[in-house]
Amino acid sequence: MEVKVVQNILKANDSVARANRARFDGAGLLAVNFIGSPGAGKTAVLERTVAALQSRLRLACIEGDPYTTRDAERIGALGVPVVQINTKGGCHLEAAMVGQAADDLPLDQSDLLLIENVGNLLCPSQYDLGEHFTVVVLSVTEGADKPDKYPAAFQRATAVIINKVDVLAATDVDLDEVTATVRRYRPDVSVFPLSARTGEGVEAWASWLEGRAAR
Amino acid sequence: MHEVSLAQSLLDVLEESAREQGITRVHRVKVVVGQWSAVLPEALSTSFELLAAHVGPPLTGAELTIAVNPAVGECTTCGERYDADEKGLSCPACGGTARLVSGTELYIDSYEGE
Repeated sequence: MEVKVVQNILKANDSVARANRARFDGAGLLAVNFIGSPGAGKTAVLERTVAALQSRLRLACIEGDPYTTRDAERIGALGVPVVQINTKGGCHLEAAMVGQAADDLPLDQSDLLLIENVGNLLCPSQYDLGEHFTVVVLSVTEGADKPDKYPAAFQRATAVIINKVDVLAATDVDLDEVTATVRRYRPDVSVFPLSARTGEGVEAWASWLEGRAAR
Repeated sequence: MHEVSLAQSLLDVLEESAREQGITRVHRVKVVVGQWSAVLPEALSTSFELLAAHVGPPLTGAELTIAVNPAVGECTTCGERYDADEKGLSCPACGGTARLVSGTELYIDSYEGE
């Protein structure tokens, strides 16, 4: 006999993600999932974001990496509660990992939870963590055609950060071209060119994020 | 490369469904994967084959068929439907904004068993 199922393969992950989101809503905080290639500058962007917003919002952070606690140490050094998840080689975070990490964070005393996914533009785009929206961190050194190669990630993004604009002159990348390519996959996306190294453009991004968290 | 964990989730969902339906042997499984789902059909097939060879009944040796759904955009201005994998989400006919009507699927359609 044939059995019609029509069920999402990731339904177990999705139901944990829904529970995470309900928990974040209950605590009145905004959860944001940051995805991007290894070396795009996700952690550096988060450091700048924390520095810009920590006097305005109560922050918490979850760091995902295959190995090491380096990223959590960098964020922790800024005085923000942070939990490191090590996936032991796994290529993405899953909702259950985030739920466990959240147990160790003061959710009720937080306005904004920053979740840094494992450096990878493919697999993380498939897993709902319970975040309210996703931000893709792209850098100018990666070239203008990343969105064409990884449409799933860009389709999911509410905002795209284009990092490393301080070295733009050393690349063949045109910012307008990158922005147009990004918009091809998500026409209503907010785009923030910035440099986590020099701080250029960080305030526009941080203010936008603050506005979302204050809603 | 998250297809192994996807294949495991797939087996978990199937096992639960087969138990509910009283099915003791699953022969064939049909899965639908969108072109923009970030899933590699070949890797999912290989992972499923590997895992299915080692699980107990009712899923021992079950075969997987994957249907790939194309990424299709539909323009919100002029209604044009087109291949979004080629053109993205700006309409090739009028330049308007399109929405994706197909291409991010990842679900079990059906299975055959007894």
